Amino acid sequence: MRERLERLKASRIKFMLLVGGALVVVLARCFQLQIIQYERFYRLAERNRTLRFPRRAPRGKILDRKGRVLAEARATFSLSIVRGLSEDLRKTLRTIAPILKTRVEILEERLSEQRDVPELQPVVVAENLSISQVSRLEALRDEFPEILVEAEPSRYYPFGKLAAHVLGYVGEASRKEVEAWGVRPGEVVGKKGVERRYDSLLRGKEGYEEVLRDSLGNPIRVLREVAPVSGRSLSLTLDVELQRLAAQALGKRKGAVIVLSPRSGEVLAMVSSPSFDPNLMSSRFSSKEKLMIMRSREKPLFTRAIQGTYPIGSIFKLAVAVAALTKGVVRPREKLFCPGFFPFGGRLFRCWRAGGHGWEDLPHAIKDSCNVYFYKVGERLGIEGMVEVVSRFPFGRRTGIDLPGESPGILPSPAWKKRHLGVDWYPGETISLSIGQGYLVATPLQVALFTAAIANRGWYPVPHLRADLPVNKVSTGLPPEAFQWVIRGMRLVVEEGTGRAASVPGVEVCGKTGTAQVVKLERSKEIKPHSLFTAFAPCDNPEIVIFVLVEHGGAGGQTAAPLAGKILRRIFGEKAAGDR
Amino acid sequence: MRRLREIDKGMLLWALSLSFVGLAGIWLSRGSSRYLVGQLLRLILALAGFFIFSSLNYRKLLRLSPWLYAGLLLILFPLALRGGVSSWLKLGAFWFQPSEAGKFIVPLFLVKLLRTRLDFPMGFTRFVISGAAVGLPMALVALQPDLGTAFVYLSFIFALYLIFGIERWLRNLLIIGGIFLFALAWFFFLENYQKKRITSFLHPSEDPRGAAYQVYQSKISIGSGGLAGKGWREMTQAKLKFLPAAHTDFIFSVIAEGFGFLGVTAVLLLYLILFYRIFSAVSYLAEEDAVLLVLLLGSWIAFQTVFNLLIAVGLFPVTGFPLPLLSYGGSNLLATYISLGIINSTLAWRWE
Repeated sequence: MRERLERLKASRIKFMLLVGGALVVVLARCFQLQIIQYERFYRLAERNRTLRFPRRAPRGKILDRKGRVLAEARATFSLSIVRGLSEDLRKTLRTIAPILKTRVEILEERLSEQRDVPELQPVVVAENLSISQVSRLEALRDEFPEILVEAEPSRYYPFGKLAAHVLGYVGEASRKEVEAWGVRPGEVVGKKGVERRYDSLLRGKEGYEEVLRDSLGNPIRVLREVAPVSGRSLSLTLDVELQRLAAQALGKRKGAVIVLSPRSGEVLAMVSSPSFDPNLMSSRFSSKEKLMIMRSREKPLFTRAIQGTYPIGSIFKLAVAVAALTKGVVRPREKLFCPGFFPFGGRLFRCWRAGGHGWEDLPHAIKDSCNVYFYKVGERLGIEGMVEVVSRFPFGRRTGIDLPGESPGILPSPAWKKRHLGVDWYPGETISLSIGQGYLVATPLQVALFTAAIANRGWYPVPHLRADLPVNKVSTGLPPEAFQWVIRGMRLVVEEGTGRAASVPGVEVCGKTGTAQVVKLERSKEIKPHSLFTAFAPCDNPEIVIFVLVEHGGAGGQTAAPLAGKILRRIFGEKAAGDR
Repeated sequence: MRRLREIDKGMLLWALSLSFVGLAGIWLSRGSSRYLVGQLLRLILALAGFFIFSSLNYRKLLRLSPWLYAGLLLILFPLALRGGVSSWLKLGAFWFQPSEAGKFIVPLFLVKLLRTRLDFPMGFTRFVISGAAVGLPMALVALQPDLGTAFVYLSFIFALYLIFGIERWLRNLLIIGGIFLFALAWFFFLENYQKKRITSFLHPSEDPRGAAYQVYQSKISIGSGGLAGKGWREMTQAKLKFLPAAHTDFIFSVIAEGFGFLGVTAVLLLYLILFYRIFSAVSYLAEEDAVLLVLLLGSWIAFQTVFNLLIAVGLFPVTGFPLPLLSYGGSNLLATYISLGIINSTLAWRWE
């Protein structure tokens, strides 16, 4: 028994040795961390206590061609929260919510949306603070070090809805943009229009301030300050006066108006209707108004001028006419007979005028927009001949305008149909395409550029909105003589044809109407065709191309042509007044 | 009360000085008197526990131990069933973790259970009996789930092995079985966050902001303390909340940041002296029961201390339990002082 007790007692040595040994290991490890690797861990701890606050760069101004401000940076105050500095975040939010006139849940939702922002980086929770809000929030800073009232250069568009599709709007960088452009999560970047296209130029470069904190989180001193670099300003080719005139002419109707210079490709006006207020869209926070814009069935965010693809109807006859003259399948003065119908492949293709137009040459066929004349010409051309020439014009591919999201449209051909629909081309489709029907769709900008190609007798410029870009000519390689007869027809359209409403006293306007039948799959009350009109002027020395599209506006001569006339008369009226 | 004259006043003194270091650490990490006052109250309560258990005859406790053990299981069982809703019980104004009471009840019961089987080395029967006596409450605690506290229960098995040794074939079986059980737990029972703690320990670079973050920041805290520490105003790691659980599980890192290598040496020295006093108390005892009891009670305190320190310095995966005597919180503090009280009871009542 005695021996057993002693043996039991003796085991205490094992315990002591084990504990002692373990404590020595811990001590040795502390020696390693605290003495040998001290420098490294000291630096890491210093980095922990260093805060880096962004200093926002004011975005560059956007100006129109006469220097009028379309977008600018306005000094506003916003409230940010640095979550990592917060002792009790809920308490903070409960305190500031009444000042911001909002609810705690809304602030929490905002913070959870911005999870990607690092803990020690500010998250903006309110913008456009009033002076009284700023002073009340500043007074809370002693108690809540996580509150940060920042002077923020925020975006302001003085003309509101006008030119919204051209300018676009701004917003906080998405995760994708953060990865692609290397911006800070929460940094403001361009989301649409030239704001997006020229974002790197307009954005400038954020600066920052590195602050060392003491153990209570209070800033002790500024370690480094890097001033922000303001964004550069951007001059556009747009003319605000003309833009307003065009927008007013279109009014509440859905559609698009494009005015551009056929020589330089400068876009003078580009209206898409309905429009939206970029000031509302540039807010970080979802508002009722913002949701209404985004969810509206009228799709105001959709840029009809470059994204909308429309059938262009009779306007395409101009392209077919150029093709026919180029290929020599018809002589300019050669008269073809229109009895009001054209039998082909066991079907009867009709002219829009039931009684027919009788004998007509090319200019008069354009003036009257005679279908049968172009059926016959199209039959002579064949689809391959037609496509060979027409594809020189800017159909079926992007024009290269400096705006994001442009749509290419469709120029159908047997190869296109085989690739996309998997079926062969029917000869009857050639006849339909001769008058612009079938799969053919184009954006308003493409039609305007096509018109510029006619006005220039064979070349067109790459359209652009940035003012200091050089002229970039694209040649069609087609003979100028082919255009003379087409232009003569377009002159007749405005003088005595379907486009009379677009005439301007003292100015030779050349134009062409289009009436595009709309096939609506869904049940809709709107069965009226789209109304189109394209024109350039003056005839021999073209300065202006205008294209007007009114969705469901009826016949081209009825709605679009008078609207274009209104704008043209103002342009040339002012020019005349200026010249005198 | 006469008995109290017989207790080891040195042991109490060293334990108390560690508690005061803990109070300093809590003050440093929270910078708020609210925590300090609360912890001071808990310390007074724990001291009351120490004196009560010192003056109780440990033999009486041994006789009562089956009932205490049964009561422990009775309380742990529903807590385990509820599965993590709450492993706390309210005792008056204080919340108490019943799993902490097991740390002195299980040793008492083990001694009662083994008193007729004290031969060397430990055979199969004794191993199974003692293993079951420890394993049952340990499993219930693990189910709460509180793996940290359950892990500390392992100290009793380990202590029995140290004291008695074990037959060789059994030892080999245990090693193989242990590996097998670990694999089983890994694939079927461990929660993802628990596995992550282990993998992040092995591969710290995989997840710098997650489970490894605690250890990383703990090492920064300790390392940046340097030789003499940063002092109150410059102690940024704990107070700017880079160090998680600064006033509880990672209090050692706070002290290392504030007082540097010199402070660390002092604290480790205090622990060394305390454990020397605890284990050398055995040499004054004349009864096998008492010797075994002191060794078992001392072992869990030492075990928990050593592993908490190894975790803080980044030498063991994060398991989550407080540092005895130093950490903020009442349950573990009370269990520690009661265990010290029982150890002193064996000294006070050794002549009867």
